[in-house]
Amino acid sequence: MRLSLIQGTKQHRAYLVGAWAFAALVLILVPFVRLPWIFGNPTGQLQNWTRTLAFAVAILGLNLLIGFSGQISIGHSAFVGLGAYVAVITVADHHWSYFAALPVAFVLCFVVGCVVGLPALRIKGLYLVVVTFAIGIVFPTLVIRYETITGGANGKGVTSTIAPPTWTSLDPRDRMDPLRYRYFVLLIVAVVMFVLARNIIKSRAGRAMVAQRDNPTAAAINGISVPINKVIIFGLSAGFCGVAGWMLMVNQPFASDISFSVQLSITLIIGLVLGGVATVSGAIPGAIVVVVISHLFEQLTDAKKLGPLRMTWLASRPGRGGIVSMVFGALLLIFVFVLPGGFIDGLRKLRAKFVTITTRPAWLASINPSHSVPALEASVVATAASPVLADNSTIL
Amino acid sequence: MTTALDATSVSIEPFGIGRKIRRRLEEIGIRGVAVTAGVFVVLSLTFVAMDGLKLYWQRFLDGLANGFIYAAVALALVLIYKATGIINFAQGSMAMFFTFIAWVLSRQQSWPVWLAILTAMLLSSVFASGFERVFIRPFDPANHLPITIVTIALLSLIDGTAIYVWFADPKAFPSPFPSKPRQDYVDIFGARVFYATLGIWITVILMTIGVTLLLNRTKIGLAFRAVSSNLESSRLVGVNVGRTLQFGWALAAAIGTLAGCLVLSDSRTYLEPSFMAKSLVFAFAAATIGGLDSLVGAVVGGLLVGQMQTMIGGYVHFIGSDLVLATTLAIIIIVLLVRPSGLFGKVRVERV
Amino acid sequence: MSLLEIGGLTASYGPVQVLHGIDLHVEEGEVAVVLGANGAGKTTTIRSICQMVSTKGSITFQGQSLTGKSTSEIARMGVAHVPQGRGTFADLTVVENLEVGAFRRKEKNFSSDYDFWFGIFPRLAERRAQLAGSLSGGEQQMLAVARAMMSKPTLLLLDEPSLGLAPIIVQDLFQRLRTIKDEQGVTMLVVEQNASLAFSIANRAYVLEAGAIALSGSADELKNDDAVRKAYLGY
Ligand SMILES: Nc1ncnc2c1ncn2[C@@H]1O[C@H](COP(=O)(O)OP(=O)(O)O)[C@@H](O)[C@H]1O
Ligand SMILES: [Mg+2]
Repeated sequence: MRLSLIQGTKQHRAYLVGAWAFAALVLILVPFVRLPWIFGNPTGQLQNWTRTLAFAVAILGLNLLIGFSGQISIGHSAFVGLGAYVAVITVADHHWSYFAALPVAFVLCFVVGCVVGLPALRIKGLYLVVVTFAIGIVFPTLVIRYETITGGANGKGVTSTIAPPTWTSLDPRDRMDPLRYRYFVLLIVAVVMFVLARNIIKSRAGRAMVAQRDNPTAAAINGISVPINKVIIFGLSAGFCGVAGWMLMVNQPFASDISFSVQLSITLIIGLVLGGVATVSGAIPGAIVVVVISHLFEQLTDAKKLGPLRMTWLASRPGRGGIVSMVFGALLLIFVFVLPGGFIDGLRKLRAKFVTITTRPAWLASINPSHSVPALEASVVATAASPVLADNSTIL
Repeated sequence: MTTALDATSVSIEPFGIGRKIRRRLEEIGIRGVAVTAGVFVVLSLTFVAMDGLKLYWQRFLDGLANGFIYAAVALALVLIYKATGIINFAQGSMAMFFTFIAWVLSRQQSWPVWLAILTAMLLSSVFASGFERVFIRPFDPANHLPITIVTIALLSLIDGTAIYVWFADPKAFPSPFPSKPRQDYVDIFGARVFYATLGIWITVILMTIGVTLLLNRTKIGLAFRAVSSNLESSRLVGVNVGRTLQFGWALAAAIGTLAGCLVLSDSRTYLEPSFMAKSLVFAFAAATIGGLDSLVGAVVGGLLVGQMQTMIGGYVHFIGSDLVLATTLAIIIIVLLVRPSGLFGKVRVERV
Repeated sequence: MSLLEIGGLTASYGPVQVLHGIDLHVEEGEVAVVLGANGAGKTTTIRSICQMVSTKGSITFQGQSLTGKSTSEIARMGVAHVPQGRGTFADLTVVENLEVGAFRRKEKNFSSDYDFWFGIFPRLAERRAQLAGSLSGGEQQMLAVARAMMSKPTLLLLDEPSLGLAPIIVQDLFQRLRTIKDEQGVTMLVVEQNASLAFSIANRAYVLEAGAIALSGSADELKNDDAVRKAYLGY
């Protein structure tokens, strides 16, 4: 059976509302569902879902950069780290509330991002790639160096957490309730960030920047300041990662140098590619995959949590930490070749088997073919995806 | 502004003896050279005034050793960048992995060190060729993003494998240079230069000469330069682009492996899966300062960064050695703000 | 059998079809020109021969099909292509450009070839050690032609050699192309917008309009065709 829909009609709108409602339902039910042992104990599971939200926001930030500039950053772990330390330091040492730290994390990362991106005003090419790589490697050394503020290699934690207020009727002393509350708080933050990203992309400036990525000269002729936009986008993507860092700390308030190494950047990039390069919604499946894989690996190799599989040979191997990287690297290679558009692209292909969405009646399309309306997600970025992996011209 | 000035200076017809050198200087931007040299001299005089000539000289020579290593790694990066327009993020990891192979051969199989190093270099070339053929060539060379992602995948794979196989605990690498305790240095004008240091200088210089000859005197070298300059035209004259880039990957891998082994010939560094990270960042800095597309720039940039590292660590006490990496990064950003094409980046003159 | 035979050639950039079934042939030893306005598909035609765009239809060179071959294989078969915009190697010196041009040849020493081409283009001789990127447009065009000829090609493809050059330099260039034609006997397929120049060296001509051959015939026939005269020669 095939469903055939025409974009802009009532049926199509109903389909979209249905899809959205389903997604919302899933997100709301997540903290109440229990998965099998392999996904950890109930609190661990919930914390991982919350962690997924943070990763999704970070991947989204990275995707903004790739989508707009076609460039990859291998140093955004530093911005995640910066956001995290802003949260931990202000809350632990200066007794701020977490919520006060949130805008600071965003703004500080935005500003640092802009400063770092500044030379891009004058330099074309790979400058940002090189500098971001350096930043990614430098950040942990700074954490060590300023040990008195950051706690250095021993890390720094906060004892206070965001507790559910009374009107929620959640019990602050319950094992699960505070975690559920934090999940929902961060869910709201994540939704705000996603809406923000979508609006940035759909804005006039956003479209202009996509145009710039595909054809810098044309954009310049149209009076768009290419380099300034580039700097701002870099700042924004850094800001998103800062927020993600803050989210990680709300979830599990502990930061140390190794949690924000280049390895984290690579993990984010893997999530990004797995989800879908230069898409908005791809950040979600991407984040789920990287968090779940890291977690599964921990479950399987931690001697204390061996579970029924009893992989003792692995748990006793000192180099077992390398396996996650190997799995991630292999996955990345497989995806670039087999499904270069990531999960989102895969989903679209799958959906295309059951649902056909005709863009517009042919006579309308011929009048203004460039004006196809983005549907469920605002991936204008994806629609113009020429330097991107796949030609994602259809939209989920 | 700067670019325009330099561009006009290139069009002046050079003549007479040394015109080749002069043209070369003009190509790489004579102002960049002059300014850099000026800053260098002024700082050097300051440092000499601070702690005396002897200490300065010692530090200068130490910095040179680091610099040559960074130059080698930067050379590998720039080779790939010039030809493909991408940064091979896996360059450092490949170097690390095959340095481990050299270690396995020399320590566990008891091969002579140099034979082990050469074998590792060869193996790394074979590996890089194969990897290029299977995972890079299927992509359109003009489409950089997927290729960059593939190099990141390779980085993750190699790092993971190295950690799995060799763990994270540091291992001592056999020195390829004479290293008998207390007889392992020479005296150069009052400064103590270890044979290892001297060996690094000589090895990198020889290697650079070798690479230059390879690129300038052989057919594959010419093809490589042609592909770096204009991909489409290279195809039109019948250059096999795929195989030429494969050569570039192989060459860069071998250089990287050699550099990895040289990093470890300093007895204070140990072999462990992340030992290349620091050198890699300094090499990135060197390549960027050098203008990313210039082989000469990579070498000069490497030497400069080596000096920066030693001098900042030695003289600028409030920064100290922990922050050298961060300071170098800051300096790069400032340099690039002032001179976008890097100190030695070639100013391209394109008249239509 | 013609040296180059193209039948029912269509070509597209992504979803956009640009050529709609072109038939064209070039005989051994002659010069064929393809005339046409901007955007008619001349460059696309010549790029199709070198398989730089995706094509359908048949292209045979010396009886061998070129479709599906790689651009560099085709170059090694003896098809030299001077692309629109010249495509010189800006970072290589003039001599090195010539050396790359001879890439498909097996010999090691090309100094007599250099001398020969420097004889034809003396301006290049003065600049032999200079980077090609620093040459003027006219010099670059000469270099591009000389580079293509260094491969001792069977077929030379020239894409708008007059583009962006001052009239006097264009005259000079075509003078030399004529010399090359007479002395080297190389078969050429020249794409041009400048019809009078093109006719000055052509034996055969095609007029391309909107991706299809509108007119074809011997150069003399077309030169005197009223439509061609009005549209391309301006009298
Ligand atoms: N790279 C390209 N991508 C898409 N369309 C192209 C491309 N190159 C040329 N075209 C289109 O193909 C048509 C023919 O172009 P071209 O062969 O360059 O014409 P000519 O050389 O006769 O001026 C034009 O309409 C042009 O817009
Ligand atoms: Mg044309």
